[in-house]
Amino acid sequence: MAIIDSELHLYLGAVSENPSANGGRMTTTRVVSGVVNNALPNIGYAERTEGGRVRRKAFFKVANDADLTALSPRIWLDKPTAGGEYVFFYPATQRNVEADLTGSERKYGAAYLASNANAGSSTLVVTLENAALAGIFQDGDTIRITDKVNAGSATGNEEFRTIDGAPVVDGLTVTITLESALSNSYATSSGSRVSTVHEPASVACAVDNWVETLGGTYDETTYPVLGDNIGTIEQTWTLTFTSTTAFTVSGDTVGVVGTGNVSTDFAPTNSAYGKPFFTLRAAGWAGTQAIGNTLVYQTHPAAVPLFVDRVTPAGTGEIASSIASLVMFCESAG
Amino acid sequence: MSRQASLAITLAKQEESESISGLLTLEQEEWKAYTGLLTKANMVRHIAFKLFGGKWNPQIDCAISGERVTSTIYAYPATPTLPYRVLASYGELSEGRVQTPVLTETVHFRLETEQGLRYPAHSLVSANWLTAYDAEGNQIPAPGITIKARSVGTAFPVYGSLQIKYRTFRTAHTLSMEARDDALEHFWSAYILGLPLGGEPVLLKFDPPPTAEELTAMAAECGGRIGLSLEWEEQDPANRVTPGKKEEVWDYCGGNFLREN
Repeated sequence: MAIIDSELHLYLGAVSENPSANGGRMTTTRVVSGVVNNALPNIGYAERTEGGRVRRKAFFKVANDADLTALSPRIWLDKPTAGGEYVFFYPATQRNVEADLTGSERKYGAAYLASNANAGSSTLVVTLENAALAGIFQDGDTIRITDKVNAGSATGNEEFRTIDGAPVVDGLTVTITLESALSNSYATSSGSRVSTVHEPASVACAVDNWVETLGGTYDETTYPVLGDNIGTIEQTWTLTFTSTTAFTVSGDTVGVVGTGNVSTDFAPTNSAYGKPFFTLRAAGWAGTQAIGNTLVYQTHPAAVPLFVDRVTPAGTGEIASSIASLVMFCESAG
Repeated sequence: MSRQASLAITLAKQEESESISGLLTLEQEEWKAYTGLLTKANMVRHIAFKLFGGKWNPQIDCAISGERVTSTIYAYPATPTLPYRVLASYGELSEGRVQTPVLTETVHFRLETEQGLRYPAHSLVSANWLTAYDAEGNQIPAPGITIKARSVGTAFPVYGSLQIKYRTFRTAHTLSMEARDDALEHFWSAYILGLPLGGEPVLLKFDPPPTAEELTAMAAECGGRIGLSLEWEEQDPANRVTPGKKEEVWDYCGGNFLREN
């Protein structure tokens, strides 16, 4: 079956409090849309007065049971926030933490149209929430223009275009030239907005960093370890032979996940999902192993890691509640 | 039971005088399972839509991406230092990503002194004779072997099987093309051209995804889309009095309100 909407899930990173360790690998904590504090904490009086910044690691996971690859994925922020704070995101790695960030990460965000844009026009003028967001629009970017009420609206227009040339920034105003003209008209009164689109590589499980210290061999080219879109996690696995045919397998964070042998496919179950962490195929083994021989490899989940960044400038006014909607779109073959 | 035997191995350079063909090998990654799979149920649905009209439901299985088809093309140069270019007649081909995978291959000798390897061997990881007999049918100790880039040889005719594990060098290029428009208009006729410096060009016909023709005809868009809202509130400070709101101060020791505004 093709990848469908309900198979795209958002999960949080391992650490959400400690600033330096904030982020890390994907957890099983799924973000439920529209629930207060599902990813970001409330903004208190002190933060609004003095200013503050909160980052949260999030992962868009492609939980497709047929293990299909998500092709041409696109991720964007639907619209600027309603309050004085502003939100943007940047690509992350499967394991990085806040302390690894350099500040030069590529930002993706959204801005409202500053003036109406008519069908046939190749120019957009937007107003940034904050001057710090000037870098979200860059030459060659794919952008999404819409007047839909929100991310899930069935009505309204939406189109994707490519930025042609470096956008001109003047204070909070950014003028963008498009490679091709708009198909629809967009009015500022309709809440029309422009988002920069993150286009990561195709999303699928992966296995790498293969290190054999074996008496025999494992043919990972012909019999690669198979991932599972639902069960596979970010992990370094060490397989250790306890006899010439039997072995134990341990993950660097999950510990021992079971014992296996060279005559049977080994597929330890990820109990959080009832799906295998991976499948190591019996057909890949050859030769004679010895006690203590090891095989080390890493598995990577079918997920796109991101850091969501919320900045509250000092003196931000008070509103009741605010949201930031992240959207993922992908296609599939199968 | 373990057995130990010595095996003489020689790694030989590719001679410059060797043929200018075979300097570069191109290969397309096999399509993954399920790619191009078209169920009978959906075929029936598609025919029904064609006959009676209606809108194709994108949330059912189809085979190609709504916009693009991507595939990985591997280029194996005879030596890692060989300059070469890889071009595609259609679609976009990415820059090459260097990879050095370890491959395992079993080579069978039928009283020959040389056999070809599937890929160029740039370093040897292990070699193990599974069986080895001489021309008279006598079992013999592991014969020494000489490895050149694309072949493995023995000093005398051998009948037997050699399991060899070697590291090769390749660049991986992602070929991406429009499924509905470009590839359709060209009837999946794309080919990949490899141009090794000083060698003969190599041509590889692009292998479209399974059942591509039917699926392209369907022009069905498969995929998912989800919007998730991260929500927060801007809470009132605990020590701030909202104008017009009563403030109460509780005496924990006495158990009474000390002051009420």
